[in-house]
Amino acid sequence: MRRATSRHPRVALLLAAMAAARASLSGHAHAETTAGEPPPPAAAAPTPAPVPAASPEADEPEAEVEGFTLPAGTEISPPLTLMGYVDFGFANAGGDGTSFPAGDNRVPADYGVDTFATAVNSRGDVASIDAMGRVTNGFLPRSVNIGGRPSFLLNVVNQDLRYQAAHVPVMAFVRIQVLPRWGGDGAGNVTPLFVEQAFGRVTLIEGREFFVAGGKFDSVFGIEYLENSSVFRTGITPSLFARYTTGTALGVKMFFRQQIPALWSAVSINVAGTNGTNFVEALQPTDASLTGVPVASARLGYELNLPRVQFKLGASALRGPRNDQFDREALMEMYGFDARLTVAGLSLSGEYVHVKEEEGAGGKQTGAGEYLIASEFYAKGFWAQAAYALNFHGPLRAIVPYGRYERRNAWFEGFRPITVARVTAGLRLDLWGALILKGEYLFNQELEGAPTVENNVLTTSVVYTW
Amino acid sequence: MGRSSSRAAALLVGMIGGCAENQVENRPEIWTLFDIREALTAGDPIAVTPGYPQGIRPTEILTPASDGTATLRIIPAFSEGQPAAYVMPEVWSHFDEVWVQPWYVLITAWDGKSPNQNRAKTADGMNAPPVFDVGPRSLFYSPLWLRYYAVLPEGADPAEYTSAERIFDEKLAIYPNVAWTYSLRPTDVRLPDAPIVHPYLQTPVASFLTQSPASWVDDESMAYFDEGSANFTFSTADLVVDETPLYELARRGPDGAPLSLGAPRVMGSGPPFARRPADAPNGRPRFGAYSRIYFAVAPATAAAFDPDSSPDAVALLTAAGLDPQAYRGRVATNGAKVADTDVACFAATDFPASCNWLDSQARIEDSLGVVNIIATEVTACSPLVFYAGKGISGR
Repeated sequence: MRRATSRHPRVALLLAAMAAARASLSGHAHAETTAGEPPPPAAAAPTPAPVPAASPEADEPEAEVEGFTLPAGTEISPPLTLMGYVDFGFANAGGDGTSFPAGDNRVPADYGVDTFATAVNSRGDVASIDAMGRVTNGFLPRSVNIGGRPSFLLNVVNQDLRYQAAHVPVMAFVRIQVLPRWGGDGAGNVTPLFVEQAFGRVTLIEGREFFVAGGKFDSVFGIEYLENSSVFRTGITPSLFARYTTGTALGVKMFFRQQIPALWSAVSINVAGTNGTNFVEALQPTDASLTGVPVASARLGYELNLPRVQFKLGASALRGPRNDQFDREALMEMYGFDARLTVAGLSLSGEYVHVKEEEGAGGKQTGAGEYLIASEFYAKGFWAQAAYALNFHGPLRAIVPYGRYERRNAWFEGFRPITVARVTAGLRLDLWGALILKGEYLFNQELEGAPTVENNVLTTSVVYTW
Repeated sequence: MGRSSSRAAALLVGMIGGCAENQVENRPEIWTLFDIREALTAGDPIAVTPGYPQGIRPTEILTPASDGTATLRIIPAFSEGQPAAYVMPEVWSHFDEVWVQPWYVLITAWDGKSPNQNRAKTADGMNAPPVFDVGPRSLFYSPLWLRYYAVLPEGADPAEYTSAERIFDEKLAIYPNVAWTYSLRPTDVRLPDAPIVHPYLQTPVASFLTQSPASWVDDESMAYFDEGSANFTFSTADLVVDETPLYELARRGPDGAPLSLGAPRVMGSGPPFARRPADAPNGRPRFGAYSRIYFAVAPATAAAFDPDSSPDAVALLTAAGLDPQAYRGRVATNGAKVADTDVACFAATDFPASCNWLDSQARIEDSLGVVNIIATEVTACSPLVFYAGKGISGR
């Protein structure tokens, strides 16, 4: 198929359209990927259950959504499509559900540990961020507030809406997520609603992979944003670097990809100018520019699409004022490299990320509120993941054991650098193309700088799609 | 867009820009002894803010020595109507609050009645250096500590405990003790040669003001000053330190902004206008180690007493058995004669009773009123070492 795609793009487009049409007719959730946001991960290749068509023809458009464009006038589905999923889980974190060592009264509590370690779901929400009254300074994820108590969780109720205009190369996409939560001791029930994505996309040249989008959309940095959705994420929890690279951003972006059939290859560029960075919303506001200066980000990609092997490389960079404060001179820079290899059901992927933030001014503004100081900050590290898909016919479509290793080194100015690592082991089952069962265990390790605490996590997730 | 609306838009943009600039100007900063040492060399004032435009001269805090080192300066003040003095090893600007941080003293066994009884010793028989983990390069550094005792395992080498991480990794038993003020310092910033005295009265200040060569922060050895225990209070819920007002007496300038008189400041004893009696059992104030500078704007007739230029007043003080140096720099609202009807109290025959002194929080607040008490963005570590006319005793 790769060969055919390269040499006969029109045929490939038709096959892709057929696959998409089948998906749409069956009401499959993954029709969204043909809409353009978000594309599924490389690991989706060995996870056949969510893929609407088992034929290899379906893989490429699924794997890189920007990779195909419907010929003008092609009617593949109703213009308006509703898709979504419910992510229901059960989680149990060690200790008190945080990474704060008992008895440590250092201030701020969130500067000497990794508060994101006890993730329990695909959004990266953690079991607890309860610092027992100690002052924190905004380096905190969202929390499901279960502490060290095992609990069922409704991780996310996700509803997507896609409108593909007929006869014009315009598409609109909206993703709403509702998060039923217990707000913590005394806070009662809370159910925040997030507009995760809301954008319009125009195909600039018919038949070419050349798109411009405006609105709130996925990151262009790295590859982990491809797994933001519970459906597309091979496992359950995001990596220790997802906090920097997977946040959605408000602005404009452009994607272009050029196929090179003679080399079975393609090169692509993804460029964005946005209000903020791709930090997750808990760490920065995304809906307004606090400095008035946009943040530029880009990813250059190369892919080799051989008949049985797919190999992708990317380099990403980001630069601009940090959007959690008001000083436009306070810059942040990020760069990263990513690689993916898919062969014979085995999917290997990995990413290196480097983050540098200068000290900001005017207090620290995050998605969770205002804090005192926008500290100078550094982080670097990597994650590497392996997944192997065993495909079946019948109700059980696939069994995917997977594992991930990651290591993160980070420090706030004046604080001891901390190095943490995590091993994640899990299993994913895909049933009927509409139900995903996942379970994984997170072995968190404090290697240096942060005290060792009991913060391993067992978490499970059942994802129903429509 | 019409001309007026263009102007309105431009004005709006300017206002928005102004707001953003204000937010940027409000950058929190801290000057530790490391920074003040650098500022001393450069000769630049520190903590210059919109509300405190003159800033603080490094020479107010440190005295440069001929050998290139510097010594901590004892700064004269008044408090509760009496001569006082303090040191000012750290200064913050734009901090709404600061917190106590943990400071660990290593011991071999816990003795609740005498915690220091079992201080861990190094190989040379000295007390093992204390350990803490928020150093002076962080904006969260605080010289205001909550002291803990950490019990080492039997046979452990205290030299191996050079970071708080180790204490928590090994889950050592820790016991909270009292609040304490320690200031980390460069090795070339020291105390003056003993005896350390009040700059005016020339009598000794607190004996607890000492210097130590070593402590550990994240495996790095640092020297520090010991500036006394229990000289501030804090909230046990969120560890936020309570502020004490430190009044800087001033007059209105031509533009209405306060202009400092340059007189010794007046240390309060509780929140402004709280009318809180001074908490100073046995002459040891439990306040003052963390203060916010307030301008106390006095009338145009206010002046500071200078014994050198008022020999008659000095004679009256001496005759009354009072030390004239105890009045040096003390400001009276009626110290100067501006209008014909004014009476310069320094020249009155019933001096010093003739003066309406501004030498305590209560007198300042009563005399000047709330409109003349203006908070600045500047706060300081300002532990008292001299209070009620004498050096503070004990630790």
